[in-house]
Amino acid sequence: MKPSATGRKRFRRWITLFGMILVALFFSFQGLLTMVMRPIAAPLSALGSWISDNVFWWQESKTISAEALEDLYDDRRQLAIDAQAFEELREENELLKKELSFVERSGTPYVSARVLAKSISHSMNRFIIDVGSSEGVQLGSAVVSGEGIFVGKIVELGAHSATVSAITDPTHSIAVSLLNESRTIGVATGSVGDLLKIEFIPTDETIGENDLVVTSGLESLIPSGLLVGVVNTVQQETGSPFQQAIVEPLTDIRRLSLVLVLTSPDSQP
Amino acid sequence: MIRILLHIVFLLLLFTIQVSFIHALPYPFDRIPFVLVVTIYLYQYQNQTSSWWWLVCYGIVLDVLSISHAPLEVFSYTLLTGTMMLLVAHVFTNRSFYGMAATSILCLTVLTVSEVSIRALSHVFTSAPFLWRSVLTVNLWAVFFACLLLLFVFPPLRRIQVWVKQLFLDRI
Repeated sequence: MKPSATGRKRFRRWITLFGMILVALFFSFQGLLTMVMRPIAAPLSALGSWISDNVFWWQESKTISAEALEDLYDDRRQLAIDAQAFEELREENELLKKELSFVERSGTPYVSARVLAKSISHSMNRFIIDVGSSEGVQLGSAVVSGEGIFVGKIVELGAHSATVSAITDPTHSIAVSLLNESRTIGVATGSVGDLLKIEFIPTDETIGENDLVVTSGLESLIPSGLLVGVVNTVQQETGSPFQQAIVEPLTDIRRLSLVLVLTSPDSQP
Repeated sequence: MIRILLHIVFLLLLFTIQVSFIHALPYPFDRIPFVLVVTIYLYQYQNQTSSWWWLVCYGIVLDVLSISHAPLEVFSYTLLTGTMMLLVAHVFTNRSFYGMAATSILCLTVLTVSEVSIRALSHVFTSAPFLWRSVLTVNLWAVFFACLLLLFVFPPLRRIQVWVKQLFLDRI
């Protein structure tokens, strides 16, 4: 029996679809897709971030103006950076004296990247950036905001694009240390909501609210001392030998449209 | 060939608006299921039946970009597409707002069940966190915005339908 025109059409569509799946599997579709999307994705993402910043300020607070709130955020970020600088200056070495912004102070090579797409929810906090292995980015590379605040790390890598798992992603974990007296070390993982938690901290460690949390440097591509957040709450169950710290990150990935990816000197293209 | 190219261009534009613009908006506005609603609108209301495979492609894109709520989104979206085709062909055969809203709600329900199931399986086999409540909450917002979009955004489109038809719909 001769196939009908509709049947042939449907068959062609299935073939096209199947072809696209093959392309996706075998020809690194992510790079191709982000390359095609880039010209409109970057401005659209920046527009979304701008709207998030300027139109939805009332979501952050119902009592103060958008400008005042933004100023407070800036102040807090600056205070956190200053406090971190102070702690490290006092105890460790003189090289951090000139600490003003992360990029200037560290001398770590980096590439700047634009955010192309985001997926932010309670169960997923990821975004795509427009640099990849060709620009010296590696799997596990640290991604920071312009102020040097740790944002996340690379979890998938293409030639000219990469997927970043943000610090608040529930599948993300990062070795951190607290800038408290005993320099407590732990693993911060994404939690439900835009918060992080550090579990299994022995109860003999003294941690308090507003202690700064920085990367510990135990992961090969993530340098130590990158600001992660501030301790919001310390919780302990009765009878438990451990306590947990809830950490509020200092960046909001919804507001990011530009980030820096730290590269190692060997991986520079 | 031009038809296929137009499809691809429109798809890329649609996906980019969803993953770059809408996902950058603050919660819960980032839950607007733009691709799904546009596809249902075109499939059910405009009778553009060739748009069914857009949702499957969207699932592929989410998997390729690794920014989906659950693994294997292509599977969930294929299931969703099948549901949409079935509902439009046999259940909500009229082209009213209620028909489209009901199709959207049921499609999102199927998507939620599929995503939660895959997350549960993923939790069993890879110990990935099983945040079923967050998937449910996210998709509840998506249902709300789908209805809102259909109610407030698409009726004006009917008024400029001739213009849209001449410029685009007749060519795909």
